[in-house]
Amino acid sequence: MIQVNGLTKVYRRGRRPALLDLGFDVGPGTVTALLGPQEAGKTTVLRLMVELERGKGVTLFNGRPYRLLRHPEREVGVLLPTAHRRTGSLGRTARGHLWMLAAQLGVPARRADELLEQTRLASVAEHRLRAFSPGMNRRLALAVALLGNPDALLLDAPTEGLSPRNADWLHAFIRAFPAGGGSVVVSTRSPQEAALLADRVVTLDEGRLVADQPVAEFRRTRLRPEVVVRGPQMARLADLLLTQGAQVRQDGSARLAVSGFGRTEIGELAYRNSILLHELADRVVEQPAPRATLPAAARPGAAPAVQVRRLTPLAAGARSRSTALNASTAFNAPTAFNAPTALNAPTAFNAPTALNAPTALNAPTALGEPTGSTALGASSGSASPHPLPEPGAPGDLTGLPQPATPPEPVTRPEPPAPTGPSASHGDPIPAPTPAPTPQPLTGPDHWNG
Amino acid sequence: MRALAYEGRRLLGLRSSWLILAVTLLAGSVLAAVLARRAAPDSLTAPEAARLATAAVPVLPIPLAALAAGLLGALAVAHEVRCPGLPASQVRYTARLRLLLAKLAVIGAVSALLALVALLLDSLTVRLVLSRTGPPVRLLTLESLHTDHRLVPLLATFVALVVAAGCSGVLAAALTRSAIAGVLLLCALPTLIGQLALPTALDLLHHEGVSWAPTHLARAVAVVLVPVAALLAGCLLAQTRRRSF
Repeated sequence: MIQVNGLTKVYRRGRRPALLDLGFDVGPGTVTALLGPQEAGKTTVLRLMVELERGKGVTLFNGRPYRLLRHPEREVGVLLPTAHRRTGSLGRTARGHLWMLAAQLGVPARRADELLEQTRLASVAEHRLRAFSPGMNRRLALAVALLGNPDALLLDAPTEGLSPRNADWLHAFIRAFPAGGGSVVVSTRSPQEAALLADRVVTLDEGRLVADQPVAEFRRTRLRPEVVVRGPQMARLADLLLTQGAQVRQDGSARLAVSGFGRTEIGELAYRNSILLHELADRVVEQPAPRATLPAAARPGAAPAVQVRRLTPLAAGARSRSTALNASTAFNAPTAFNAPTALNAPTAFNAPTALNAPTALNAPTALGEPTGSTALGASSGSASPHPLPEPGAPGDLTGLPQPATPPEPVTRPEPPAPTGPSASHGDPIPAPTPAPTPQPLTGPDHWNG
Repeated sequence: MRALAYEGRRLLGLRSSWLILAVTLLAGSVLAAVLARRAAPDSLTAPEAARLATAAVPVLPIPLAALAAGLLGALAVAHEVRCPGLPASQVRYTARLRLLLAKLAVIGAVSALLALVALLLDSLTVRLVLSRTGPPVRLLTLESLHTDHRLVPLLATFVALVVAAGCSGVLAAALTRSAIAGVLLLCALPTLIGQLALPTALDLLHHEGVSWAPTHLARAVAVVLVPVAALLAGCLLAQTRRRSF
């Protein structure tokens, strides 16, 4: 149980506070994400929590502040980047580093070896830290944080700058950690990652708390599914969709981003009007975060802090209410909840693929990345679970598994033109595309439809 | 006890500390050999013999072994500043104090060992060099220690000086939070002490007619102890305002 009360940090007198009266609770067995853009004060929160910096406010770990804990390392594990961004001295081996710190904590060296196994570092344990990649360094830092077998974990941007593989491993670890009753505070810049990891999301902006939501509410209000459509006749499709009541915006030169309609409906609409599609994929975009409004008095250079404190909660409340309204209107379409349900699935660690698009099945790509590049890779790899359609039978696309499609059955046969539900099959195979594609499809010409 | 174990593992697990020790011993014996070649073998007085055995060069403000001990100490603290293993554990004042004392103890022990080994190695080198050129010379044998009573305090002062230099290195680096600044401060210490505070204070006492006016030995002890004590006080004060080393 971690209780954070009124954390406030002012770096220079008279300046805007870097952190203003932040408070939240982290229950046992839960993960809380601190979400915010760069410079929002996430690291400052974590540093203040363990009192590495001087500031106002009190953080209680099981009812005691960090400095008064009897064995702080056995109750709180901390992964914070230091000023020099190194885990340890470069000439030391990983095992030597962990043994040294185990000696400092009074933990048997066996525990260090266990952690090397657990963080998949056992094979490189005898190598020097000079040769370690950022991912290995991060895992070693995690092993250090876990040395004392703590109940609570504070992780500052644990997946930042890591490869997708390492990030996936860390996500799985963080999701699994609270099973033993521990609590985790993790800071991140990506809303998708926050939705994936956390049970509760605390959104910060410019040092102010703008939202403290359970993850279901966070997904509803801050993440919005949309469908990316690509093809040569996008202007016509856009007109059609607009008349049907969808929200359409242009995304790049020959792509549309459609919200309010599901993939199936758009595909059907295109088929009925015989519009050729090359890509039709789900993705999740984030709603713009509610911004902390700066009262006039708090602009740089001025500032009695009392006034700021009175105004901010009001402003934040108003903002979050308005975004909630927006979101509810955007979600009227029947299939709009696809992506959130995929997220809720028990196999939440695989959710990036489910979220991203059905195409990127074997590529653990970053969340919300546009599917184009990864989809190409997926189609060329032999490990793709989709059987590639025969070039001679372009219409036979109904058998394709569609993991994230809505449950409604598709009654009519799929159109003869390859409205490939995925770019991976539509794009790189030139044979099945019939007549209406006379030339390469990259250019504003095709907007004429 | 844990802090001691940590510090011991930290110091011995680094290649750089072994390298510093080896280079110091090697350079010391080479220096001793060069000095012994220039010395006249038949007229070795006690101070000269001690100078040969400790490889003291007039260029350096402190002997070579003392410099190495100071460097080790400064690096020990700079390591905690640059890449602390558990930064959040150093938040508490008592934890930092414990670690600082452990560092002082370990570095002091290593420095004393270094001084003794350097003495043995250097005297061995000197004896080899001198015996090749002239008649065999007895240097730092039991007989010579028995016959010349001034040799023992000299050598003891050398060991104390090396230990004090190691501790001063730790404390100076803890004060300045940087290895380079710590070593520079360490090199400047003898000059500072000699020029500024100590002689005037001692002379003042002497002129006032205080009965326990310092003898030669007390003066030597004071020269070694006073900077360490001053640095220690400075460190303890500075650490109260910090959250890490």
